[in-house]
Amino acid sequence: MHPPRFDAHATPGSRFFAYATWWQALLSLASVLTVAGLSYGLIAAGFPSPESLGILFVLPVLCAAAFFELRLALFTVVLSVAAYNLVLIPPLWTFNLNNPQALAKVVVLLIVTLVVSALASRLKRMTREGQAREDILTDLYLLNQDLVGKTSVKDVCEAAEQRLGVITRMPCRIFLESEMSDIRSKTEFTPHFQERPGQWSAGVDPRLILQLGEADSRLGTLVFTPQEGERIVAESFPFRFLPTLAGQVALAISRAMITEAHAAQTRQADRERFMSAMLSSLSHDFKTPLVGIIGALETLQSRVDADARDLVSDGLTEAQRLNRFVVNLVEVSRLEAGVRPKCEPVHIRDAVSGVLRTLRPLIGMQTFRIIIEPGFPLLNVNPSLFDLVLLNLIENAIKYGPLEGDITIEARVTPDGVLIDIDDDGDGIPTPLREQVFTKFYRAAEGDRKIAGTGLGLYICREIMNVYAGTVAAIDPPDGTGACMRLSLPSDITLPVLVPQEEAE
Amino acid sequence: MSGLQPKILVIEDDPQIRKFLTITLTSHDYTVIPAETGREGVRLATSVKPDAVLLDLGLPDIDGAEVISVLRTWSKMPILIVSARDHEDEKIKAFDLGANDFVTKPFGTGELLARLRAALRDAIVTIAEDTVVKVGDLCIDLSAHKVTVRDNPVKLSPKEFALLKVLASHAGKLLTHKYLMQKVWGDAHVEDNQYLRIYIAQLRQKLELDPARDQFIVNEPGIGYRLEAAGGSE
Ligand SMILES: Nc1ncnc2c1ncn2[C@@H]1O[C@H](COP(=O)(O)OP(=O)(O)OP(=O)(O)O)[C@@H](O)[C@H]1O
Ligand SMILES: [Mg+2]
Repeated sequence: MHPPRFDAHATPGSRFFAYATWWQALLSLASVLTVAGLSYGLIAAGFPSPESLGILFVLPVLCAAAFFELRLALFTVVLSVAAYNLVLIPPLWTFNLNNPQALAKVVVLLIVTLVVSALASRLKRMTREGQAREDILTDLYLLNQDLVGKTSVKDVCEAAEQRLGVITRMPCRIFLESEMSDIRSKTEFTPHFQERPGQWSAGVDPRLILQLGEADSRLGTLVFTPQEGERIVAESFPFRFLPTLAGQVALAISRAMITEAHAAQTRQADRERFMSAMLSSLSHDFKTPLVGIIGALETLQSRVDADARDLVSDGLTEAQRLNRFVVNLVEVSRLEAGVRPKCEPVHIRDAVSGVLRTLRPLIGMQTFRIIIEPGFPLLNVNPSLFDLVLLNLIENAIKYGPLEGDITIEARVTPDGVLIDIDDDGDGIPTPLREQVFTKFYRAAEGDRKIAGTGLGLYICREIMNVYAGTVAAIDPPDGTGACMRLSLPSDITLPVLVPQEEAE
Repeated sequence: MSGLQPKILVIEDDPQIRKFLTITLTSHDYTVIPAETGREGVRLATSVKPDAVLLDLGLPDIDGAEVISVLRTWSKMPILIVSARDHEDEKIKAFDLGANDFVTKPFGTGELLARLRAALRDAIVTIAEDTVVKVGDLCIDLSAHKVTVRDNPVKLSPKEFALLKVLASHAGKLLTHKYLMQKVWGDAHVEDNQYLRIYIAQLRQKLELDPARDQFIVNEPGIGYRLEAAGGSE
C-alpha cells in the first residue's frame, strides 16, 4: 500500500497550532530573560568568573529544542545569542561586535547552540518515533485480539469499527462491497466518493476514505468521519499507520467470508440430506397407503348402493388428488436434489392423451381441442416429467375454468423451437400475478375460492422446463379470455421426423 | 374361463395391498395364493404352478428382477409387474427379462383385472381373424376392415389399419415398439420406432374424436402401446 499522502488543504494551520507556537515563543523568551537576569545578578554580586556564565545561555536553546519544534529552537538561538551579547560582553546593555574578541565569543556560542539544538531535536524525533512504533504495535495487537475468533463477517466488521474508532478517536464505518448495492449505504456514500484505491482522499470532504483489499478484489471501504471542526493529519500518528491496520481488517474479513461460505455449503449439504431422507419417507409412508386406499375404494365402488357410491367416489377423487400432490412433491425433491431422469422421444399427442386419461375422473363437461401443427417434431425429454408439466397445466385449466369450458391445447413449430399453448376460458390470471404464480406454494386465489390445491403445480412446471432449457409462462390469452399458459422448448431437444410417404390408397 | 378358477400368485410385501388384491381377485373368481417375500414367491410358484403371477418390484428380500429371471428359467406363465411411477428403468428392465405386462401404482381394480384378463387370454388362445373387437366406444371389425367410434365410421389408411389390427388382436395387452414395427413394417424397420409414434398419433387423431373421453391407445413410455378402454372396462 502507498504511504498516506496529503492534500494542501489538510496542512496544519488551524488556530490551535498558531496559538501553541506563540505560547512556546513566549516561554522561550522568558527562559532567555531568566538566564540573562540571573547572569546579570551574579556579576553584580561579584561573581569571580563572568566568562564562564556564557554556558548558561545554551540552556534555553536546549530546552526549546527538546520540547518544541526546530524553528522555535532556532528562534531561541537568536534570542540567546543576543542576550549573551547584551549582558556578558562589555559594555553592558549594548550590542558590541566591534572587537575581534567579542565577535569570536558570539560566533562560538552561535555554533554551540546550533549544534545543540540540531542534536536535541533529532533526539526528540527519534524518541517520538519509537513511541509511535510502540503505540502502533499495541494497537495492532489489540485489533488482532478483537478480530481473532470472529467467524462472521458482521462480527469482524463491528469489532474493527469499534477498535479503529478507539484508536483514531473518531467514528469509523466499514462499507462492504456486497452492501454497496444496498441503496441506503450508497446514498450515504457516493456524494463525495473518490475512486482512489489504497489512497487517502481528502479535500472538500473532511472524511477519510480507505479501500479494503486489493484494487482487483476489493472487499469494501473504510470511512472515518472527523468531528465538526476537527481535521485529519494524514502524516501524523495514528493515521500514518492506518493502511497497515486496514490490511489487517481486510485479512480478517476475507477469512470470515471463507468461513461463512464454508458454513453455507455445509448447511446446503445438510439440507439436501434432509430432503432425500424426506423423499424416501414420502415415497414409502405416503404412497404405499395411497395405493391401498385407492385400490380399496375402487373395489368398494362396485359393491355399495347408489348413496354410498357417491361417498366412495368422493373419497376416491380426494385420494387421487392427494396422490397427484405426492407425485409433485416427490418430483420437486428429486429435481431439487439434481436428479435428471433419462430422455426419450415423446410425441405430444401421446403425452396429452395419457394425461387426459389420468385426469379423466376430474373432467366434467369441458370440451377439449387438440391442435397439432403437421410436422410437429418428437421431443427428446423424460416422458414422466413432461407428462407432469402437461398434467399440472391441464389440471389447472380444468380446476380454474368453468364447468362447461373449452380447453384448447395447441402445438406449433417456431424458427427456434416449439410452442405449446394451453388455453382455458376461466377467470384467467391477473397480469400483475403472472410471474408470482410460479413461486413455490403460491396460490393466487387464496381462500376466496373453494378450489383445493397446494401451489406446487406451476412451480414444478417451471423447474422441469428449466431442465430442458425451456420456459413456461402465463401469456396474454390470444382469444382475450381465460388463462393461456405457454410452454416453449428450444430446437435442440426436438427430433424432426419425416412423415412417412404412405402407399397410395 | 375353463372350469377351474385360475390361480394367481400374488407376491407383495405390503399387507394392505395384498389384502385388497386378494379380496378383489377372489370376488372375480380367481384363486389367490399370497406370498410375502420373493423367496416364498419363487418356492410357491414351483409347488403350486399358478396360471399367472402378480409381482411387486419393491420386495424386501430379493430384487423383483431376480424373481422374473428365476421364474423364466422354467416357465412361460404370464408375469404382471406392479411398479411405482418413478421407477421406469426398473420397469423396462423387468420387461426385458420377460415380464408380460404391468400396472403402475396406484392402480384401479378395473385396470388390474383388464391386464390380468388380457395376459391370461393371450396365454390360452389367439384371437381369430374374423372377430369384432370392442374397446369402449371403439369397434373394430377385423375381417370387414371396418372401424367405428360411437357408430361413426372412421376411414383409415391401410398402414393405419394394419397397426390398429395388431393392437386389436391383442387388445388389453402391452405390445412392444419392436413387436409392432415388425408386424406392420417388417423386419427391416424394427429399430426405427419413430414412424410408429407418428402413425399412433395419426390413429389417435382419427379415433380419439373427443380427447376428454377417448383414450383407446395407451402409451407406455420406453416400452410400447396397448389398446385399452379407460378404466380397463372392456
Ligand atoms: N388456468 C388458470 N386460471 C386461473 N388461475 C390459475 C390458472 N392456473 C393457475 N392459476 C393460479 O395460479 C395459482 C398457482 O397454481 P399452481 O398450479 O401452482 O397451484 P394450485 O393449482 O393452487 O395447486 P396444485 O397445482 O399444487 O394442486 C393457483 O392457485 C391459481 O390461483
Ligand atoms: Mg395446479
